[in-house]
Amino acid sequence: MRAPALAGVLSLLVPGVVRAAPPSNEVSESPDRGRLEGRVRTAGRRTPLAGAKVLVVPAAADVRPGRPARAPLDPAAVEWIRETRTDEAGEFVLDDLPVGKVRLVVVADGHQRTDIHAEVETGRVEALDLFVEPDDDAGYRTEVISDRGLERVEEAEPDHRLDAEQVRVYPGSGNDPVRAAQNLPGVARSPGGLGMVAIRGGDPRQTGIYIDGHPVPRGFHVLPIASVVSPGMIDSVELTPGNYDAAFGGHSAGLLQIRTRPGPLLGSEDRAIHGEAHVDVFDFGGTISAPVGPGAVTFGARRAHIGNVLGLFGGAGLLAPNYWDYLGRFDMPVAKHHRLTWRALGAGDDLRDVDVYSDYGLRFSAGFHRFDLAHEFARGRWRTSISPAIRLDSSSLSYSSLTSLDRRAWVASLRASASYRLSRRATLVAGLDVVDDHWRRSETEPDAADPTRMTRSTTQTHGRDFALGTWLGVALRFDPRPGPLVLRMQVRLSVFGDGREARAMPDPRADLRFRVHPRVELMAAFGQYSFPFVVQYGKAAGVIEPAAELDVVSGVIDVPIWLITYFDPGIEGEVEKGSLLVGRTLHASTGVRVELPWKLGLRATAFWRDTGGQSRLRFDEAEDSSIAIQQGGFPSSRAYGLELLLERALARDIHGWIGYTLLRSQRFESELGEWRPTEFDQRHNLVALMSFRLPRGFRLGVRFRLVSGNPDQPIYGAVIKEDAGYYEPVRGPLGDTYRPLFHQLDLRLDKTWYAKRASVTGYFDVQNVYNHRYPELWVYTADYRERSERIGLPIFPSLGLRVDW
Amino acid sequence: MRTRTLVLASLGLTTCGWELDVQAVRVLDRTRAFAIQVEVVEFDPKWPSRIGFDPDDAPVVEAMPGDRVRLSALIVGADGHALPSADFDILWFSCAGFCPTLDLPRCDDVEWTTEASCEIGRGGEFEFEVPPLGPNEFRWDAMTTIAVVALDEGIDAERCRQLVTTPGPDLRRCAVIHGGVPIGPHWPVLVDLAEAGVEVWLPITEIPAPALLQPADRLPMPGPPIWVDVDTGLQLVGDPLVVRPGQRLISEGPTWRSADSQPYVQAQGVDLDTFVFIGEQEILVEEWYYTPGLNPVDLDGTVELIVDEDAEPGPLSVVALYSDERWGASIRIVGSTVTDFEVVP
Repeated sequence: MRAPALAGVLSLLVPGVVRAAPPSNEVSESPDRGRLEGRVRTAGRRTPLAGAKVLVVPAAADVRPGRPARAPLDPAAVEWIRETRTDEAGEFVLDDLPVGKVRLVVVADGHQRTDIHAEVETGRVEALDLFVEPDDDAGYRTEVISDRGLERVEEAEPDHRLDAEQVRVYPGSGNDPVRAAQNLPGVARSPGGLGMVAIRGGDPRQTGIYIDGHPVPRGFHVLPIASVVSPGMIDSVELTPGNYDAAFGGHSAGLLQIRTRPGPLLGSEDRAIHGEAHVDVFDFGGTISAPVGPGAVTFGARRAHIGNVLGLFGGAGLLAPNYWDYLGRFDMPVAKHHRLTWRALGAGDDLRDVDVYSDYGLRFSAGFHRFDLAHEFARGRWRTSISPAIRLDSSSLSYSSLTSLDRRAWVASLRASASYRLSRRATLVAGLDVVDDHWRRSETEPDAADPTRMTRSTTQTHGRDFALGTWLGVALRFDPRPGPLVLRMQVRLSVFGDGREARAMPDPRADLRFRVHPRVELMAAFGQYSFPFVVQYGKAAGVIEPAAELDVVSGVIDVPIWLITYFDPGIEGEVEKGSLLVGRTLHASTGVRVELPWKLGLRATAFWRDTGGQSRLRFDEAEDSSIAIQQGGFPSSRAYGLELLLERALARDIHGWIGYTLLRSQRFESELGEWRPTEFDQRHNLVALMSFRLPRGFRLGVRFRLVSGNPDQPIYGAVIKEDAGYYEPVRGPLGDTYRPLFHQLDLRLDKTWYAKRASVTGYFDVQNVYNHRYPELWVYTADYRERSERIGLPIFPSLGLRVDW
Repeated sequence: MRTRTLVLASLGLTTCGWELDVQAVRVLDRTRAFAIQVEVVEFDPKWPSRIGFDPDDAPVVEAMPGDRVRLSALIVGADGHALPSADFDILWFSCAGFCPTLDLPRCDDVEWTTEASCEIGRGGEFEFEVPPLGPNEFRWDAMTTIAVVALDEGIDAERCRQLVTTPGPDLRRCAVIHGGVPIGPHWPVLVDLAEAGVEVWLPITEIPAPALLQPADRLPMPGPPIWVDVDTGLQLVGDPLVVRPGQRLISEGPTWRSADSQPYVQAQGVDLDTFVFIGEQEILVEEWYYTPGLNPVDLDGTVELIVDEDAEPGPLSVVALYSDERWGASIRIVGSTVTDFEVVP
């Protein structure tokens, strides 16, 4: 008896030493023999655990069945041992066991060893329900992006794809995978931590933001910063800082795609009903997913409460932000090779003065609802998809009962694509996307003709903007030694219109991926990216305008326009009497991706972007028949640089990345006759983001950022405006000076506790650990002689709790 | 602009406070320019009634075409006392609306009107004859004037002009003042324009005769303010006024003369053809500036002045800039009065 017992104990360390006994349904008839059976599941998620090893050894007579066995197992005291493995349903049966107290040991890959006491009785079999705790990161999906990109040639491969579940644990991102994407190379540090995605020094409004293939008005809530999709509903976030696929257009910078998570479809490993609930200082929410026949449904919603908390403190001028969002999707395989998806999503923001009696009475709200239908088909050489969607937008801004702005829009969009594998080497791709925006604006102001200013007059305008794109291309795959080569050549025809005029532009694009070594892949891409631009005559030319000032009681805040446009690009309204121009941006990039030891991956990309400037003259005839000539347009701009990414994305113990961007982003200032930096010309941008697994279920996250300051438009003096009794700043050109170097350390500590049917994760996140004061904005005295800083986020601790079941 | 207000309110949530001494704008710790001063030194004989009467013969600051005016800058030194404008190098410009650059032709070389953009001349005090009114219907009530002042001996006005067009750090050694030469009185000027064939904004036959007698605007000339000790309620007397560190003062003043708030006539349209003429009085305004060592505290609109606890024995000053304002007028007429204090232990 001793020899097999010792071998069994050894099997706890060396799997496979003892031969497994097959499950059996026969009940022992012997009076001193009994039987144990039960089911092993993953704690928290309740997923049946197949292939888990279950060992039984005798235990002391005084142990209590059902209690964890914490005492170390003494191999010398083990008189016998029995072993089996769980089946597909996680069930096991052990027959012919000696009657008495026993100790069960469950060992499974990706899970912690579990020891529990039980009792074997004659003629009585009680099914055991065993839950074993997963390793900290057992839920990770591993994905080799370069392989996928070389296999599925009909789809463009994003430069970066973040697994939503993995990146949620990074500090400074508030559990939000979209915010984590702001740390990727090529993305500028967003001043104040705002939800902007400025790519390679470009205008953040020129970054296309899509959720499941359709555009959304904004990717982030206004304040505080959170993406418009509940984190639990996000499957992945994909970023392409340039040279994005011909299936998208209208954005001169790059593309950010948020893909939502389907429920447990037939074929999934785990088809149980699962959910998640979270609460932190800003919001609370939850998600639930469940199988429905062969399909699945999933729903998530979130609501902020930070505004309610702030409202308790009151105070005029304090703005209380609240937001909400929801997303539901239903996926159903309707026939072999066909799948239908219905989606409904929406998000909204509300900012209002907490002092309801204040004359200020500021209130801002914006939101959207979107309803999608998608059909996907894949069979043999064909892959097709078609998805219509309708979106309802609304935004309003009011100051009092007399002054308000409202914008309503309905946006119809359609995305359809098809690919056909012509041969082993060639695949044909084609598609169509349409976005048709019908907007209506209403502006109410005090009636200028009324001297009492107590009556209101309302002006209503409406219009339409649309963008249509259709693309055609071929993807070629060759298999030279040592690895495959994929060349994709496409042309996209974009048509932009504003209801008055329409303009078309063909955009040729090509990209190449070549595995020159089992661990080395080369990439290159070149293409044209057209985008619509409505000229606003009589205003300063430029995609982003210069800074402006906001007078406050205690000084003047120097506010850059990019910050103003962040809050809602649509609230100031579409340009009336403008002219539609179509800009052309050329993107070129080349890079290498290397798989290094220790699961490290290195990606280096050199990029170049060039946008040609355009201008248009308008001739206005005045009442006296004189002709006024107005010019409008946008200047030429260019950006070039290098992006480096050293990542460890597939590991459980340590994962994260170190990203570095070397950038030069410039705009040609015709008045000065020279190239000047753009607003997001952050020369150096270094982000180190790591998550370390610690003992006892703890996980430590670290983020450190070292980023060049943004170009400044320094105020060198002021014109004393005697007539109005104020001062008007005299500014130097943008880039005469730069903001100071930005650096910040953020830490986060996570701890997960597992119960049988649920897990609880608590986290403590501290942003700006050493409280570095960084001047995000300058505040001046009224005469602009002296200035101080409006600092960014000081040291900021926050707590959160998440329950998964 | 509307969204900017939203941004302002939202900034309170994304960024944190600053440590800016916003009162720094009120501190006189360097030579500062404040305003363009205008004085009519020679009247065109037309409309003699506009000269009116002032018991102290305060300068007339509202000119009509043909008048000779003197431009100067109100510049105050670090001790709070006004410095002679003539001691500074100043370039004077006339600017129609928005002047993106001050590289302008000389006014003598162009057909100069009150609405031309040109360089009037150079000098700490500069006299010229007001040109004819511009073609745009006397819209602005003033000839927009810009003064570019070299505040520092190491820089001249010409360099300051270049710095306005191509800004650089040296601009802090200059002052740029955007002001104007008031044109008026309004009603006589309107009559002149109509008689010259210009279509004006109301039928001149509607103008009542008293409005045509409206006197030209004169610079207010208030007496110095009265200072009262907050704790004792006693008025401070002497020259300079003696104060102690930590002493709290409150001002009553400046002491306005009855002639400082002049009457004028304002017209309001009932409809396109009917106007109502209303008699109004100018509003008198003052602003306070302080040398370091005096700390103003705003108490619901009343400023209490606290002598710094650490103030060294020596002189301190308070400067009151004063002006008058008319409803709808965009030009302010500015003068100053100084109160000197002496700190004693």
